[in-house]
Amino acid sequence: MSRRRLFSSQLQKGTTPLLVLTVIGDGELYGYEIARQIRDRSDGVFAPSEGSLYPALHRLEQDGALTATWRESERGPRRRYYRLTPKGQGLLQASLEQWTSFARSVERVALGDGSNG
Amino acid sequence: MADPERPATGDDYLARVSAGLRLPEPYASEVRDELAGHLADATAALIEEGLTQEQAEREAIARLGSPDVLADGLRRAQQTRRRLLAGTAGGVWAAVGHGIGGTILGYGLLMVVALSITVLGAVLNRFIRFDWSLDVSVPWQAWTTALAAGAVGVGAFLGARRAVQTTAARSLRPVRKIGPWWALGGAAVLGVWVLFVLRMPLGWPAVAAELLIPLSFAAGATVMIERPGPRIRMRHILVGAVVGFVLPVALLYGVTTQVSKTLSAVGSLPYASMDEMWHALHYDLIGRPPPADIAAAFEGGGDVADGGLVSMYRDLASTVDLSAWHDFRFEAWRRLPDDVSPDPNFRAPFVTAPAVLVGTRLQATLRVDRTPGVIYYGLVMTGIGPDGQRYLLSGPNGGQTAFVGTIWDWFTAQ
Repeated sequence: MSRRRLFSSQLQKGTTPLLVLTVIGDGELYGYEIARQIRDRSDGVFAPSEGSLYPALHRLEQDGALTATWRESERGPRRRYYRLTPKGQGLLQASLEQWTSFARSVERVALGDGSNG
Repeated sequence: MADPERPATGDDYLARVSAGLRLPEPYASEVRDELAGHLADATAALIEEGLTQEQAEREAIARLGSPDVLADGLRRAQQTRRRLLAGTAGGVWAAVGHGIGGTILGYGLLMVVALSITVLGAVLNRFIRFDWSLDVSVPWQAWTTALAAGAVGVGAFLGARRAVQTTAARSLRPVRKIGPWWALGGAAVLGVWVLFVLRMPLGWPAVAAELLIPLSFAAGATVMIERPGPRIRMRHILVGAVVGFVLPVALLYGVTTQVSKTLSAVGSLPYASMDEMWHALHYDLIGRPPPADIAAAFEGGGDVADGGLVSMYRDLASTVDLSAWHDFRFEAWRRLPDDVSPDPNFRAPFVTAPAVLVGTRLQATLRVDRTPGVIYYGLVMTGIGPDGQRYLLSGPNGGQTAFVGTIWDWFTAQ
């Protein structure tokens, strides 16, 4: 794996819980829809490995950030829908604040914030 | 060219994930259903984009990535600390329950083994004159300890297996990863227990059997742990209790009757002189025969045994003058099994205590259960006379004992 791909892979892995919480924050969704929404809303920039999506969902569920409910589908097998819990909403808020602060800091270091001339 | 490592169909993919999950139902089937839904959605979307059914299915599988990596990630997601704590608590409960049940069962099994060996020994004695018997240098109390420790060892083995399997099932972790931790922890706890806490009558067989308890637990937690262990049911415990307890009580009754008959058959032997008797009975190891007036000075006495403590006293006639005597003491000597004579292989008492004069009574307390290897002992009182020689003034009176203590006591007393 090239350094660029490795960096991208690690970055996506680190941001997957935040992306998952964000899209589920808009309403309950099942796994495939979550993956598709992340891809669509990021214009294809974030195409999380679908294989890493399910472990992230199950870990968030175990941590109490999500609850899951089985529903029958009109087309194909039954679906497992995920919804944010109050704890998940708090985690989403905290994660967003952390990410914003982190991204600004990276931007200041990488691009300069203008104060150095 | 198709990747041989990658499953070609959705069903193959789901089977690989299931095999890699190593998680109990219903969790595993829920994971299969969820992934089956995902593959169906992804395949349908890709067909809408223009791919054939086969191409779409292959692409959907490829996007999910390696089934082994996915199974590993899903399993780890379930392995929370909370589940591990709950599983460990359940494991402790299972270990205690199966340990107690296994111990009762173990009594029954060992009793069957012991009876089989006894019967075999009797048959061999009868037909081929094979002189076989248990090591009589070990007191029967210590044989009882060995039997009990062996039964606890069986309980430890079965309890450990159940503990590992319970913890693994509840924490959703593989038994081969849980087993070593249980083996280490359980063996450490049981090791401390048998070394420093458990106080029992001991002989070498009992020491070996007690030391096997932690090893048995470690073996139960690790050896072939992935195979389902036997589940102990109430009927097993009942059979073990009947064979392990009722039978020994019946046998013990028979043995006790036989021993008392043997002891009652021991008689006195004639000697030409006091010196001859003194030497023949090995009393000269203890001291010289007492002068007649001194021997008559002791009007009576007694020994009161309380566990391993023996309180001794001898009453003196008030008129006797012992001012020229000193260093009165009570002594416990190893003796021969069939009479009170000292064992000639030992030249000194194994424990002594100075006799304290209270009024007209000389008294002391001796502990006789702290010397490994002592079973039969004789208690005497001695004193040093005006000539500087030690005299045997009273006794010997016989008794039986066994070393009682922890394994640590046993080794430090050797």
